[in-house]
Amino acid sequence: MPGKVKVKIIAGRNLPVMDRSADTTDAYVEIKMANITHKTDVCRKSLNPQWQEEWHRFEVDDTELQDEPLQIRLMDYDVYSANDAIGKVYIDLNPLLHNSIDSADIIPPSSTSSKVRAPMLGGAATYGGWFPVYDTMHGIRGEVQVIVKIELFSDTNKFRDSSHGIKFFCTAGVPSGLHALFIHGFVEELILTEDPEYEWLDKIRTPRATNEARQTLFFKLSGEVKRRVGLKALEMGANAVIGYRLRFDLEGESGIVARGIGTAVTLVSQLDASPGTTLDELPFPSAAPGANTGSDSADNSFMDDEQHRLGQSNGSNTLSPSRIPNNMQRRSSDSDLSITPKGNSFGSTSGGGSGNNMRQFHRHSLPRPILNQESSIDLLEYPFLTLNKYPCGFIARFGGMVCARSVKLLERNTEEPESRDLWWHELRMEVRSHARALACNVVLGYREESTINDDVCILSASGTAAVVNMQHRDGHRISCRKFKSNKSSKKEPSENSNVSEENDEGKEDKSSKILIENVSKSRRLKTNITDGHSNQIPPHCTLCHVPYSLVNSPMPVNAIRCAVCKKGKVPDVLLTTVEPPEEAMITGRGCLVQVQVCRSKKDAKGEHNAKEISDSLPFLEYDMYSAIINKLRVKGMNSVFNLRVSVTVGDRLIVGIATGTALFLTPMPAPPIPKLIASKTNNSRLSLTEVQKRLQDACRNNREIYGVVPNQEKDANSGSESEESDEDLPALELASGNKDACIIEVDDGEDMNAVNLLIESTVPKGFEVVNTETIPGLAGYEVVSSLQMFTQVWRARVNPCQNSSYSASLNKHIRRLQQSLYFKLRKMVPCGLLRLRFKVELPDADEIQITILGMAIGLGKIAQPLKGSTKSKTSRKEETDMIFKLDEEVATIATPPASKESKKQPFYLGYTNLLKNSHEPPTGRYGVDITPLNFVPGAKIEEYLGNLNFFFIRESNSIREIGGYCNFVHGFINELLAIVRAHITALGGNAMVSYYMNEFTLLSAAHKNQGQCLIQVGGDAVRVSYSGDK
Amino acid sequence: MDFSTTMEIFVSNYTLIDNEIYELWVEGVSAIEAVCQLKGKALLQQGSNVEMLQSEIEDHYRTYSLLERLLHNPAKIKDHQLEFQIEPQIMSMLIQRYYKFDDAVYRDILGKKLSTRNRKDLDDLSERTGINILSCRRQFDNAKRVFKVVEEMPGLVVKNIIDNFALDKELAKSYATVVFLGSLRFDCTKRKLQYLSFQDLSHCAHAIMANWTCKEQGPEQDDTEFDREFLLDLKDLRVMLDKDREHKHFSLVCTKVKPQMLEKVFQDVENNFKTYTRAILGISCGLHRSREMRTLFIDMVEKCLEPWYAAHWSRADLSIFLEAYTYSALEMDALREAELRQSWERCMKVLSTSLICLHKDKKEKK
Repeated sequence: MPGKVKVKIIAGRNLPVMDRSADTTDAYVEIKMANITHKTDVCRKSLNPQWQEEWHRFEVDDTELQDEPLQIRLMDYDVYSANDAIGKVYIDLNPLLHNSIDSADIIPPSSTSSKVRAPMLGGAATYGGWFPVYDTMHGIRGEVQVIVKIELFSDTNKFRDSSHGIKFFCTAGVPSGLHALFIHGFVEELILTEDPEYEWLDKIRTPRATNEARQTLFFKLSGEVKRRVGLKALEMGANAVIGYRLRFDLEGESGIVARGIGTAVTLVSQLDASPGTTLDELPFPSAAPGANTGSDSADNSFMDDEQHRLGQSNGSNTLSPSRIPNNMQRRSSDSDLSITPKGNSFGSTSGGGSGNNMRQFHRHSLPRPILNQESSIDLLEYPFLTLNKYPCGFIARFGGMVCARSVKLLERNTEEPESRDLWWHELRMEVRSHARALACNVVLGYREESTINDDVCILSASGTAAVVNMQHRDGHRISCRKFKSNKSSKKEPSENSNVSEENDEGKEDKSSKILIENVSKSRRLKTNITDGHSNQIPPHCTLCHVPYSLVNSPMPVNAIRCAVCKKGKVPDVLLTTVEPPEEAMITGRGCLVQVQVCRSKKDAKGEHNAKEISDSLPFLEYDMYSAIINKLRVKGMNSVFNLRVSVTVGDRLIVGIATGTALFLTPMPAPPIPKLIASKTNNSRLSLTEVQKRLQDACRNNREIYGVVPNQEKDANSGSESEESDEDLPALELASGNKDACIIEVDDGEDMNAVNLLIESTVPKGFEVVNTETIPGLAGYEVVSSLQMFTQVWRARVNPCQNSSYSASLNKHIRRLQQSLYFKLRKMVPCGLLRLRFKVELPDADEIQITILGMAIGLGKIAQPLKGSTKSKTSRKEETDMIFKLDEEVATIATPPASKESKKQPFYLGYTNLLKNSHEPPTGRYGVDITPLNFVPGAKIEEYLGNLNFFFIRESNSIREIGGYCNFVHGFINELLAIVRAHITALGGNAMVSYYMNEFTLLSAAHKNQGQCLIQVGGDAVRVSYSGDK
Repeated sequence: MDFSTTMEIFVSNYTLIDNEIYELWVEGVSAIEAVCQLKGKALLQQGSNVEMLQSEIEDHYRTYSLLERLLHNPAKIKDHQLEFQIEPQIMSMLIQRYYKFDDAVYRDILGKKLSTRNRKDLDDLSERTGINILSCRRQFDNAKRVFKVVEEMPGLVVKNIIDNFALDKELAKSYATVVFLGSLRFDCTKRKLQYLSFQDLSHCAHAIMANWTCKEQGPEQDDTEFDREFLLDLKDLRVMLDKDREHKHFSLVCTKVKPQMLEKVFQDVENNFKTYTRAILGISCGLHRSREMRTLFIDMVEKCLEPWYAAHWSRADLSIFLEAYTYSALEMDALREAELRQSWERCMKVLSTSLICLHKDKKEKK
């Protein structure tokens, strides 16, 4: 399906002076699409040239439309010497491809096709406006005004390679205003290619040429991965990919790996969804629409998928719902990879199935819930969803966090993309088997990360095993708050109840044998299981019940009766990688919890390095998880949401950092306060009791601040652990001897340090800090406006010294960074810091770099406090009281200095107005809002305009003249944001949601006065309307 | 293990501006000094320390130094720069502050060529006035930049400055003074003129621009160009030096002035009228010669003001005298011709207001 791309270059402005003698520039523009290049006339002697030319037309192949960015290069014409490049603009055409697509492309014509297509019509019609002209050596150099339009011809060819019409969202949830009719499943794609930086050509070309070659390559890769992911989604019958994540692994000499993962879904606009469905409903389809069977896609895994679904759709009608649990039971009992479905051989065709598929499709295209979907998800090769936020009632049970890692040695020159595919395949299989072992049918919040040190690569996959309601039939009767239907719980397979929490270091796991090049995998499962027998189970609390049977539990388990229903069993701790579901019962508020673990490592090469790392990993993880559990206890909370565990390897250090949002889930027990026990030797009693006292104080404080008053706690004496656990002990008998989990042994100074680390510094008043999208359990306040998206970068030289522990000093500095963040945002209180992301890099043997990305939002008092459910009313009330108290304190603290200084210096003129009136929703909002959240606080998303990904490189040979690396990086990030904003504006948008910054690499050579910085950013461009607007 | 921070930056989507820190930056205060100055005020919040304040100030300083490039071209950035997200009114505030100047500095550069050599002399100025050298240089560069852009531009200079630099009217007027006096190279540096402030000279400059330049609408409009015809016409005022006319003028002035003045001062008018009128007419008639135009200020001081100072005239006396002097002349036949009348009025308007402005009582002078 070829398309016509029309480009018009209108004007330029603020161009740099290229001709020094005349203080002017003779600019012209080269427009490149695929392999065709057009040129404009030279506009002589002007820094603000006007071209006003006719349209430049390009006839482009359909795959090229998706893979190739439109490249606009501004040049300075020179009569005698070579023409100089001013800079470039890259325009990704993908956002324009949704518009012109014919419905026949996505879905065979049927009565519902128009409905299914309707919301997808959103998207930009033209891409036009002022774009900053970017040069890798000089940064932004003026702007150019461009308009781009695309004319597409309709193509119904089933064998095409393009995936126009599949819409991509970074948003890890159902995009607002849309409704997911089906979830088709996990889609992924991986491309390995050479890195221009390491080509022989690099030795003879200029840094600018190399940088541009790389940038172009990154844009192409991003387009190609997207196209191929889209193709897979298309073949599954989806019309969109949500929770899409694009990563680049810069493997150095062995090349660049571009990886895309996402969740294929069929989206319809909420209006179009028939009355039988609601937002809450997120069913899995049992089969793919038949449009693309027999595709020439060379991808094995897809064929596998297709075959599974075909097989399953043929057989599914015969499966009675009652059999399904058995099926699952069988699966859950073994984690052997060989039992997991393997696809038919690659060459087999599925012609026989297509008729069936068509039939299936028609059935499923009705927006009525679908029968027998369980089997569908159960038979998917990867039952993974990359979303973090799920509609109410979608999640039935949480199993717990599952994670798998592997250490791989990158071999030069010999690598094939297949080997990378295989690596990830292994990991995914392991994650899947972990989930199955927990009797869970899906992995939610699934993500894949990698970290590279020299030629060793650590791949990590993690997610949350869960049981989901696939037949959410009563959707239309389910309101967002109330979860009435308990039917789903009846289907739960397990009879026994228990809870488990496991720290399995994976040594006994056969899948983690140490091989020569792919070394150990360590894994960790945090789990809990329940049965869902009773019809009497009150709403909400079932979510926390453990989903699997104790008998088959692969690990020691510690279960307690549910505090709400007194029937089900709940675990004492729950770790998940997703956002807290709306229907979860929460006591108090959530808060950020983070642990940092840092270990030294020998500076080895190759295999030795790999061995060193893989030997170290289990201990690192053990330290991290035990610290996070203990920290939770100090906080008085019992669960962590959105937990992100990242491991970074450097030449001499391995750093692990786990960040999450701690919460108290009402159905689960209150954690005991950790108790210190000293060994008999050499430890002074005094300091121990002192620390114990501090620990207790911290616990009490935390409970007070976050309003964590467990409703089963009768005596005011908070956390005298003996009584409480005694009462519950009978239920605990199954799990032997797990009470000591709350006892910390202190043998020496190192242990003492570890204990000290458990006590986090307090968050200043007026701040709420979490890494989730919302502040769970926030009462008395509401989110009124978005204030600031911020990026903080800290880099330091590591000076090894003996007397303090690595983790302790890392912790100290991260704490300081956080405090410094609060300090910088002090004028914005009351405010919430959401979606904080911490990223650690070890760019050099003695360097460490931490990047924090987050969003500050304005909180405002709610006129009348929300009426909580009767259960949590009391605690909420207390909490509200407390917040008001807090606020008064804030006011008293804040006013004296303000009154002193305000006469002389009105701080933050515009902002203060906006903020001090308790963040009234802005009406005449200016500029482009960029937020890592998947919504814009205080605004409504009108339209999704397209998914944007950028990869930029900035290099400088005059770092000193710029004012050092700080200025270099600061300026670069600033310019990058400007470019992103310009592209959003050009698409007709005024905001970006789900903004991310994946790659942030700074290579410095101070002695050469050189620096190079690579950053990957992206997100979903949207048009929003602010509530004040008309 | 310990860390020594090598980089700490904080970048936000909406550019954060802090008036107080910006002010210090504009004044050329170094980041470290700024920390010292703000230390007392900012450390009210618990858990904060000097390091944090320093990191914050450094963030702001970096932002401002990135902004500085744009501030050199304010009109362009005000409406459509993409690099920083700053509310228009804050942007405008930033521009005004950046182009704010110290009277002492601009007084010093008035009438000087804005050359690199003179830029080096700023060290002395900085020492003398106690104004930070960086601030002096910024002001010098601002003046030079504005000068360069506006000098050759046709049209009204104040409007040109507003259009190209987005400055407030008051600020634009000051820059117009710098441009006007600079481009016509008025001599303002003589020792005897040192007692005059920037504002005094600015007042005179604007009076001149308003009355003696090509202000009429049209393609020729340029208030940094003198109306040559008018200046040549002034030569005809020589007729006033004729003995009879001078005497007539003298008696007319005396009748007007007498009731309003003290006896002592009136005596002086009676005795020295001839000197005074010759001085004023001498200046007026010579204005068409650009050398004499350049020395206008020094001439006014030496030829007119100094005798008056010697006779202890007050400013009120002066203004009474000048008014009478101007209007009496109009009553004479010598200025019957409409064109000459007009020239006389245009000329005296400027001279009167300038003389009154430049006249400082002893106390004011020091």
